[in-house]
Amino acid sequence: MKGGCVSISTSITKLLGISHPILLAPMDLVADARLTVAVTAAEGFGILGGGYGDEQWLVRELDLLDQSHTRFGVGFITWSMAKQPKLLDLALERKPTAVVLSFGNPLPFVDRIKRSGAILICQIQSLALAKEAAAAGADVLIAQGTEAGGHGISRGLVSLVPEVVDAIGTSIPVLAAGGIADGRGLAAALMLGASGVVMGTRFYATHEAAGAQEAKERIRAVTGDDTLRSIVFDISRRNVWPEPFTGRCLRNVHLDRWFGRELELLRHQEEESARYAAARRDNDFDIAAVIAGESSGLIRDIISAREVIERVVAEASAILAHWSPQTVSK
Amino acid sequence: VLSTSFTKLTGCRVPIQLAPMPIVTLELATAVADAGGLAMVSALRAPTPYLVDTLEKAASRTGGPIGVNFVIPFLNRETLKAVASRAKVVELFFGDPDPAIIEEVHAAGALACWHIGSVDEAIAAERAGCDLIAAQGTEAGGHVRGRLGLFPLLGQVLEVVQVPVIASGGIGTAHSMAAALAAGAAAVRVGTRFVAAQESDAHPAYVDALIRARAEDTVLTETFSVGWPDAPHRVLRSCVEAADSFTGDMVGQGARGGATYPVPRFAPPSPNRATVGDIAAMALYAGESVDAVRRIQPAAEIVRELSEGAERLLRTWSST
Repeated sequence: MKGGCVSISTSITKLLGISHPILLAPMDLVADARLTVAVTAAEGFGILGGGYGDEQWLVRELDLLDQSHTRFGVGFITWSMAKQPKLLDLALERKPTAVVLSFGNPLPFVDRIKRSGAILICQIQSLALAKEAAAAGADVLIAQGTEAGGHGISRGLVSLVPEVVDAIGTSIPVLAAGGIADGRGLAAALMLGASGVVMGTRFYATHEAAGAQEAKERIRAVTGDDTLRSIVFDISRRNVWPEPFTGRCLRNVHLDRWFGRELELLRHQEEESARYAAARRDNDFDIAAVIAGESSGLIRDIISAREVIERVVAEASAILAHWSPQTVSK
Repeated sequence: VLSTSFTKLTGCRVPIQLAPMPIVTLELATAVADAGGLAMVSALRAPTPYLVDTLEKAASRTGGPIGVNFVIPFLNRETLKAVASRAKVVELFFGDPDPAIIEEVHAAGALACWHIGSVDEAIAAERAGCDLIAAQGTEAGGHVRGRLGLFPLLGQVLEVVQVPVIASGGIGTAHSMAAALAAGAAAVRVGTRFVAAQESDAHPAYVDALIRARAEDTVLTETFSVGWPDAPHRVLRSCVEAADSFTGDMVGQGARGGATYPVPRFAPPSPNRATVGDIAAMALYAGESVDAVRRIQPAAEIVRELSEGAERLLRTWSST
């Protein structure tokens, strides 16, 4: 298989004008301008992690994207961005190809996004949320399974994607997110009816990602059994999320200590959050969380974003070719 | 036809394994085997003569292979001895892979399968001598050994074992079957869809509840743990609520293969046609594939829908 020569064309590649149906998950702090540019340069679609909305960071990264003259998207945590909606305007001024809204009601922002000409991509975790986003005017849906790193809900990808595709129809492309890090995952997602995949953890473990090297090394070293979905890290960093969202992280000393004892952790929040903040500053990942998904177990190396995309596409193409009538009749 | 290492090993025509649920009747097993899948019966609460009889009749009525599943905490070695020689596949679940059991299965001439929930357990199962492995994701209905979503688990298991791997959990449509095969599985395990098969022994009220339910109506819980503790299971949320508000110690009585058993509140048995009592407050197992349960169908139709649909998806994609 010649890497980079194969491509898998779907409705999302046509809509976004890309060669490979692979999107970068807009991971808070990790998906910075450098990683966004790298993913787009490799003919996937890079999405800046607008996260909770740090204006200074956002402006700096948007400036870098401007200078790169590449296509990009911007992702926001909707409920957090809603507290300072001018950040959305800041982003829209830079003419992103797409805006991704995750976790919260997209409706108040739909008109502004559409008027700017950007494609609206909404991330959902249940059928009810999918219907809500489609009704609000989403152009693309990301169906996020519980396998995903970071915040999410509890449903597995395998039944969520076909259910959403059946309910929403084929007019809105559906992308699969959660637990995908290789060509098997892309091929499976396409079979489920998805038009492409969104990968976070796999891109975290790349040279271009903004995360600490120690964090990337942990993702490389662990198995998928070593993650947990919890609210321990949110309590520890005083970052209260609305229900029912929980966040998947790599297990570490801190998570093992407090998992299942969240109420007690709340009572110790004062000293624990101080310890946690210091650990984040010092890259002490025995305490600070590495926010990563179940696909960690599939990641064995830290490579470039381009290598990720070429490898995933080559693997998926080989799998799909294996099932081709010509191959079978041999 | 979807030919895989699973179909070659087991002699099936279709890479679908019927999940071994206590509601699998002789008729359901026969129908799945006749349709080309691997039929499985459950040894849970089944008297040995009934199991022997079911396996013998199923084998004589169909040319297809039949398997039997034992749950390790309830494994009766005498029963295992009595039935292993009459089964094509003997499968074990909910216990550490045990080479002695696998040796016994092999001595009886059957293939040994272990239904595993983690990468480490998959490695142990292969090392213990298993001929195939079923890898279970947390999407699965019934008792859940898995802790990972199906695809991340499958991906990791495939990297560490050589034997055929059956994908288990959340699969109930042609799309999900095609996805599992594309992800490298040699077969898929389907349970929840077959609870609503015409030939199933599930209580009609249980089947109705499945038809009405969506995936979000399922919950992973330890509610129905009386007599089987520390064993998470996925059920309909409604039955947890009904059991919680039920007053009294006994919700009813069940029967299987001529033997009756009491069903205490919070006990694992799911209701079958012979069960009496407060059906809604019993364990109504359902996987996240429950959305695909839309009506009562003959088992053969379910096998065909999934296998032919999956084949179409796989072939179509590859030719674009």
